Amino acid sequence: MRAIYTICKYFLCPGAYVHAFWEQLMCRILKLPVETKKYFGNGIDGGHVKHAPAKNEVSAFLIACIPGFVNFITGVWFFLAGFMNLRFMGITVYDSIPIFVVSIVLIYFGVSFLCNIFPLREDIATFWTLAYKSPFSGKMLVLRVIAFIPALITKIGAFAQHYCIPELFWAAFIVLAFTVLR
Amino acid sequence: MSENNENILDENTLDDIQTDNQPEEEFDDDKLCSFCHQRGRAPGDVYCGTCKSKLIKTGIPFPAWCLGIITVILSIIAFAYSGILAAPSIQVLKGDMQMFRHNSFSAYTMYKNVQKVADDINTSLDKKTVARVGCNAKLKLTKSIAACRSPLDAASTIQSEYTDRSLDFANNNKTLKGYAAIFTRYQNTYTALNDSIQLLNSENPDYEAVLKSFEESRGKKNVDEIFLDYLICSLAENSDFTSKRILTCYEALDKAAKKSGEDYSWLYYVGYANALYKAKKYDEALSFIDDVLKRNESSNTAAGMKMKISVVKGDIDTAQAVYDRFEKRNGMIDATYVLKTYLLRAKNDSKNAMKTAKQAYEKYQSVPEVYRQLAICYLIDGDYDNAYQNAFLANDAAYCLYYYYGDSSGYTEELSATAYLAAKLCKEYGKGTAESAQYIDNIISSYPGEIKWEKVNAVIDGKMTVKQVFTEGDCDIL
Repeated sequence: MRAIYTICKYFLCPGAYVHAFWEQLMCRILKLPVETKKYFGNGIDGGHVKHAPAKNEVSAFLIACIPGFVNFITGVWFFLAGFMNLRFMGITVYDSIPIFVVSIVLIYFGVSFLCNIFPLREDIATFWTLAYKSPFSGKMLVLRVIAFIPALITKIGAFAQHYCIPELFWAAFIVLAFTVLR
Repeated sequence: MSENNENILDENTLDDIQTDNQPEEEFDDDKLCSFCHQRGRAPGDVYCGTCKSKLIKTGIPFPAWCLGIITVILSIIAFAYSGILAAPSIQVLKGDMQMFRHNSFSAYTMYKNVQKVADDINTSLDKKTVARVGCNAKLKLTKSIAACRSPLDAASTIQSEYTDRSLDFANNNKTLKGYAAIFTRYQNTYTALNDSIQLLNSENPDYEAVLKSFEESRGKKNVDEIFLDYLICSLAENSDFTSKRILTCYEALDKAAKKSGEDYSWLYYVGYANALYKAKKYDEALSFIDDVLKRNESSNTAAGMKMKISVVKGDIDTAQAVYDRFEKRNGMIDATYVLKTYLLRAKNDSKNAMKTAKQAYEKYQSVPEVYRQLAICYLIDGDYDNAYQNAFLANDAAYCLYYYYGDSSGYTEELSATAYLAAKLCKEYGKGTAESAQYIDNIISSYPGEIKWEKVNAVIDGKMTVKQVFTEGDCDIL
């Protein structure tokens, strides 16, 4: 599983790299210590940086969700632009080779970004523990309520990502969209 | 992120580890800074103070900054591009959904709009090909035409839709090759019969002689039996043959088609049903129409004919049921408005028929039948100037449809008859200027030979009123 995960991360490296960048940027903003500059290799999970755990709910939520969210809102437009061109506008090599190639590249980058929108399981677990498992004090009640659905989605996504489910989902979606559902 | 963060968190934050006031050299390994492994951890932390302040400032690699910024810029461009492609893509998606539900006519209307929407976008952006309609989208349009009309119509669009390099796509695509093969067989037959067809197009054709010449071509090279029979049926329909004889031609075609083992229902079922209808064999006509509707419930021609037969039989409820089913299936598209106007006329509700025709006119200004229905409503209303105007616009829309899409379905005999009647009545009773009168004269004189439309002649001779023609019997002009 580990090998498949690593292969997926390297295959979809643009999205993984940018996710790691947003994660480190969030660490800088939140003043969280980061141990390494490397985004791949040396036992570091591709697309993530080795950072200290957040100390409060806000930091934990932001560090778990924001890098993925930014990857999502940037990647979705790459994907849609390429997907609409190929799937709906029906561009083929017979129409325009440059547009066809650009569309494929856009889909690749889009999928690469969309496969890297979830944090490591430990990151979302930090928030989950701080927000929902520690003794209730009434503090941050609004955040806990508002963040519940996104945190739950992120928790499920992080679990799925560990087993390369997003990659499988996108591969299946693309194959279906361009074959059976064409 | 370090491993076992949750455990670290539990130790440090929740279990309240006490590390204060202890000399560095006395720490256990698990209480040492997890980065340098030399100094003791700062209170409530996994790092020592020195490492923590150093690690907080860990620099972001320069390539990462570049990639991050480029990503944001490109994403904004991709966002704009997605916005441009959204409108035509939604049209295609809607078409796909209709196709999935076997509503090929609705799908066709959706697909037809894609090129128009893309052109509008390109024009507004002053760029030629920002939104480009590709071969696969054109293929969908062609398939929908084949499904809702015929592979022959689909094949004729190949020449207009696929140009330059995309023609290679058409030549390599199995489906399009199939349509083209059918078209070639038809065209070869037509070409082989060219001399006979020339005779048919002469001023006063001798239909018997042409029919004999057609029959003599049977079995010759390039003459396809099915298409020969089909052309004989077309000849019979346009001739002065009795309805019984027309029916005999269709029976021969039906026999030949069934013998071939291929499905040619798309070629002649509606025509056959029409011949049966004219021979007053309503139930048999309905069985053919039901068969067409079973295959393609969005067929407006079949739905229209079923409604017409029901109206003639005085069964308005069935006509209403057919309309309701068509509307439910296709929504308020141009054909729905046309059928609704017809139904309201059949119910003698001219006021609402006019209202519906005007609604259709506001929404669909490129559909010949929409204009024709409005012209009919004006004729019933006695407003012959407006009737003539709309009949003229219907003819114009049919021309545009043919010119831009290679679609000749707009030119119907009903349209010709309506336009002629409207022009005649406008000339006789209209308030037009001398200039328009001259124009109308030219149009009337463009109809060659004797006018054979019984109802048109009846109205002109004063034997029938316009209202009788359009609100009684089959409620139409032919």
